[in-house]
Amino acid sequence: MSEDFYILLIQKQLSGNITPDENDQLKAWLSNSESNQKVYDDLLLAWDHLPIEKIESETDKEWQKLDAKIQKKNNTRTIRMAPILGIAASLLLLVSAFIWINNDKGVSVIAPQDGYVSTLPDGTSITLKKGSELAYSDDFNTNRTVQITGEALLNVTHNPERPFQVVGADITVTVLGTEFIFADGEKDNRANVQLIDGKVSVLSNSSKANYTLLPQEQYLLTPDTEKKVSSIKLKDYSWYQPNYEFDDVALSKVLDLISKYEGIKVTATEINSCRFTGNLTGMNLTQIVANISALYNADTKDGEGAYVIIGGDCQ
Amino acid sequence: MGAGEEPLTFQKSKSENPHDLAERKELTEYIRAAINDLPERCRLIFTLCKEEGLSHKEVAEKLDISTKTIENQITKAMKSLRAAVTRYQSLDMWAWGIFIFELLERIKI
Repeated sequence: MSEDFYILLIQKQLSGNITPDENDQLKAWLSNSESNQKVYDDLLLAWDHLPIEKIESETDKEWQKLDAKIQKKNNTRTIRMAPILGIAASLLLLVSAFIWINNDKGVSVIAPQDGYVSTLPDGTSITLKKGSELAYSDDFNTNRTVQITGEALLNVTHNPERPFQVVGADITVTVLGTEFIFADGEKDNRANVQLIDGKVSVLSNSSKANYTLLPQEQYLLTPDTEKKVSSIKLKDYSWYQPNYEFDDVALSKVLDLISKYEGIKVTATEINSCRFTGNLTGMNLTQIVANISALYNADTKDGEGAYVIIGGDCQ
Repeated sequence: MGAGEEPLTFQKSKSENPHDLAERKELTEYIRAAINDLPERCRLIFTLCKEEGLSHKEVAEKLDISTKTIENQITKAMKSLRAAVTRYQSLDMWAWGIFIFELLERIKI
């Protein structure tokens, strides 16, 4: 496959439209050579620096005007340089390249819309609420630390040798590899971490108290209190829309995933091994359970913060 | 818990630093110029994919052209973005080069 093919895959990945197969293909290509990785890094940097405001689409007339202007500008762009100066400059280029490599610019991005996904060099994906800010330095590969102001869902690539740290205004979260919601910095002295999967440690920047969270637990900081709660409520973060699109997946797995994201246990008695294909994205939990029950001719029992799908068959 | 009693010790993120903010803005300017330099159709297709988050197939249906055309145009746009980043990076290196050159010149005199 040509480089163009992978450039297209990178665009699909950055815009969140990549399929798992394509993602594997891209990963394999990236690990092939450093120059492939450089292509990805450059495009990621460009993507993170796209102008935030809408790119206006001009009418033909305006476009022609702009085109003429650009051509004019291009004509005056020729640079001539005395050869000796060129040689001297080339030598200096080497020196400056060294300095440039050591010059940490970092990456900083403010989410232009809800659900904006930023993929870090280690494969970690961060979904941001509109207006939330993410920043990390150029040495991210050796020091996995990001700063977040606002709300985000993080899906951290597992690496036991290099813990991943999220620094916020009020709290610091340390993880190995996991998925969780992070919210800090929108209002003073208020923060929230909701753990979907894995294990994280939350450190309060002011009280220095340390909390370890397990799946389905959350850490809550308000001006009056700081505590661990043994349930999660991802619904509070309506900007984040979990993807519930399934293609021939065992229903037990579908229900596990939905339970994880909705914070409410959904189980089935009979139809766990049935295969499920369909898209439940955007529905609320009641609708999801009703749809699944109807599909398999099952009944639903709802109570005490849990749903049970009873009976039904795979036909 | 006295979370509110102590002043915040958190250093605001990098972008708060005026120097970094300027650099970020500068790269964004390069990217903006690269997007503006794209042919109208290519720009429209890229914009639909980027801002409306549409898949290639959805854009193809919306504009009633083939997915292959969409993919070609997107590849073209992505290559322009990459060229903008490369230009930005090399210019940054030139700036350092010229700075050192001038410094050496002065030391010699």
